[in-house]
Amino acid sequence: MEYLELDMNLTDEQIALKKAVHKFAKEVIRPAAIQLDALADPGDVLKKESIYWDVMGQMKKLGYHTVFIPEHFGGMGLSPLELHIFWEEIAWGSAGFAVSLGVDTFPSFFASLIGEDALIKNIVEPFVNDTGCNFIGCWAITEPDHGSDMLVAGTPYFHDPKITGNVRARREGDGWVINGQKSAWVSNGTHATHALLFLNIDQSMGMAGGGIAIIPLDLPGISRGKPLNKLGQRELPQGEIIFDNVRIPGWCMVAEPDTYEAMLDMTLATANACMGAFFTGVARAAFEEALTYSRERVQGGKLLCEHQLVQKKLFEMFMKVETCRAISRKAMVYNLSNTPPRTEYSIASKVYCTQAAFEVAHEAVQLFGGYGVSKEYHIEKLFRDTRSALIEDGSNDVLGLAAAEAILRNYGA
Amino acid sequence: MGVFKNTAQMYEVLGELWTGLLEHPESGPKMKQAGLTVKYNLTDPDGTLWITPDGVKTGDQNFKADVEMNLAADIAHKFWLKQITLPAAMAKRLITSKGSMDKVMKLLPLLGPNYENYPKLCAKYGLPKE
Ligand SMILES: Cc1cc2nc3c(=O)[nH]c(=O)nc-3n(C[C@H](O)[C@H](O)[C@H](O)COP(=O)(O)OP(=O)(O)OC[C@H]3O[C@@H](n4cnc5c(N)ncnc54)[C@H](O)[C@@H]3O)c2cc1C
Repeated sequence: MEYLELDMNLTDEQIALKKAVHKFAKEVIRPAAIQLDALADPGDVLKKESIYWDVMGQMKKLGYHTVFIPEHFGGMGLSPLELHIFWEEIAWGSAGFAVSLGVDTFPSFFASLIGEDALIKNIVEPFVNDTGCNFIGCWAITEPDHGSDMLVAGTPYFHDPKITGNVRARREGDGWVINGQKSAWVSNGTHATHALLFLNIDQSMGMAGGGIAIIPLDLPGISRGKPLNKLGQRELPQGEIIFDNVRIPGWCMVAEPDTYEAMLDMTLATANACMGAFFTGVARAAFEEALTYSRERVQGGKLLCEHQLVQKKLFEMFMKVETCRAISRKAMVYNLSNTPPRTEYSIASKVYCTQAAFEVAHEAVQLFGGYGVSKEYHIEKLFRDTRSALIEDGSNDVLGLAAAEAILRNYGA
Repeated sequence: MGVFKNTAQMYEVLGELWTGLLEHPESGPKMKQAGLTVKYNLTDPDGTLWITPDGVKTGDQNFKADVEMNLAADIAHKFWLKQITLPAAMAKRLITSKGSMDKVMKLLPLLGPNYENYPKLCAKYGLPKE
C-alpha cells in the first residue's frame, strides 16, 4: 500500500531509496519482528539461532547501519531528508528494529562527527566495515535512579549538585576509571559491543558536570543484566550495563563538563527527530491495518468502511499520519542542517508523532473490535509498541516542559 | 583587541590559507570535486569569506552557500592553530552552522594542509600563536 508523496521535489534516487527500504521492511523486518515479539522469554531474542541476528546482519550487509556516517568514511551519508525517508520505512516494519538499528549507529555517528584519528580507526572504520554483527552500538544514558533527570538539559535542577548521575568517571593518568550502573532500559545494552556512554565527571556541577565516552564493552569490569521483559517493542533487546573500576584510554572521552550540556542537547535533538520519523512510520502502519480491515469486515450488511462513522475515524487517522510526516520531516531536516539545533522542534516532532501513533493504534484496535486485542492481529503489537514510545527517549510530559522552556527563551526573542 | 588588525588583514591571511588549499596537489582537486560553496560570516573584525570550487572570494557575493559558518575571527584563528575542535566550538556555540552536517563533514578530511600552513602564515603576518 503506497501513500501519496506530497513532496514533489523528491529525486528518482530518493524515491528508489524509499521503495527499496519499504520492500525490505515488509519482507524481512516486519515478519521477523512479529516472530520475536511472540517469544515469551526476552532472552530468546538473542539466542544464537534467533532471527534477530539474521535481520541485523542483512541490514549491515546492505549498509543500513551507516546511514548517518559520511561517505568519505565509507558510510551511506544520507541527507537529512533521506534519513527521514529511511527511518520512516524501517519503523513501518518494526519500531523495535528501528530503535535497535538507530542506537547501533550512535557511538560511530558521534565518533565520525568528532573525527579524531583514534576514533576513526577504533570506532568508525570497524563499524562501517562490519557485515556480521561484530560491532553493535548502544546509547547508555538512563540509570536506575535517573531517567528524566539525565536526559533533559536546561531543567531547573540540572545544575543542582544534590542530583548527580550514578555512573561516574574519574581521571587516572592519561585515562579514566568508570564506576556505576546504567538501567535495564538501555536498548541493545544486552549485546552491544560498544556504547556511547553518558556519565558524570564533576559532581559539584550536578547533572551538568557530565561527560560522554565512546567505549568498547568487552573491557575488564563490565557486566550485563538479563534482557528486560516488557510491554512493547519486544523485538528490541534491552538490558543494564554495570561498570566496576573500568579503565578507558583518554581518547574514549569525547566530551567533558565544559561541552556536556550542549552535546546532550544536540544528542536529544537528533534522537527525538529520529523518534518523530520512526513513529510516523508506526502511525502509518496502524492506519493501514485499520484501512485494510475496514475494507474486509462486514457488519450491519455493509463493509465497515461503508459506515459513515468509520469513514470519519479513518479520515482522522489519515490526517494524523500526514501531520506526523509533515512536522517530523521538517524538524529532522532543520535540526540536522543547523548547529546548534532548535531542540524544541525535535521535541514537538517526537511528542506529536508518538502521541498520534498511539491514538491511531488505539482507534485501529477499536475498529478491529475483539480481534484488535487478540494476538492474531498485528494491530495488537502496534498498540503496545506505541504505548512504550510515550516514555521512550524521554517521557512526553518532561520533554514538553523542556520544549516550553526553549520556546519561552527563543520564540520571538 | 582581536588577533587580526582589520578586515583587510583577515581577508589576506585567510584568503591565502584557503587559496593554498584549493591549489594543494591532493586536497585541491578533491575540494573542487566536492563542488561545495562555503560561506564564513566572521565577526571582530567583520567580514565574509566565500570558499568556492572556483576560488576564494570576499564580501557580498551572489553565490548560494551550501554551508554557512558563523564565528568570530579569533575563533577561526584558534581553530586553525588546533587550539579548539569543531565539535567543542559548536557545542560551546562559538561556531554555529547552517547546511547539512554531511556536507560539513565532507570537507573536514581535506583540511589537513590548512593546519600545516596556518602557523607559517601566522609567522609571516606576525599573528600570535598562543
Ligand atoms: C522502549 C524504550 C527504549 C529506551 N531506550 C533507551 C536507550 O536506548 N538508552 C537509554 O539510556 N534509555 C532508554 N530508555 C529509557 C528512557 O529514556 C526513560 O525511560 C525516560 O527518559 C524516562 O525515564 P524514567 O523511565 O526513569 O522515568 P522517570 O524520569 O522516573 O519519570 C516517571 C514519571 O515522572 C514524570 N516526571 C519526571 N520528572 C518530572 C518533572 N520534573 N516534572 C513533572 N513530571 C516529571 C515523568 O513524565 C514520568 O511520567 C528507553 C525507554 C523505553 C521505554
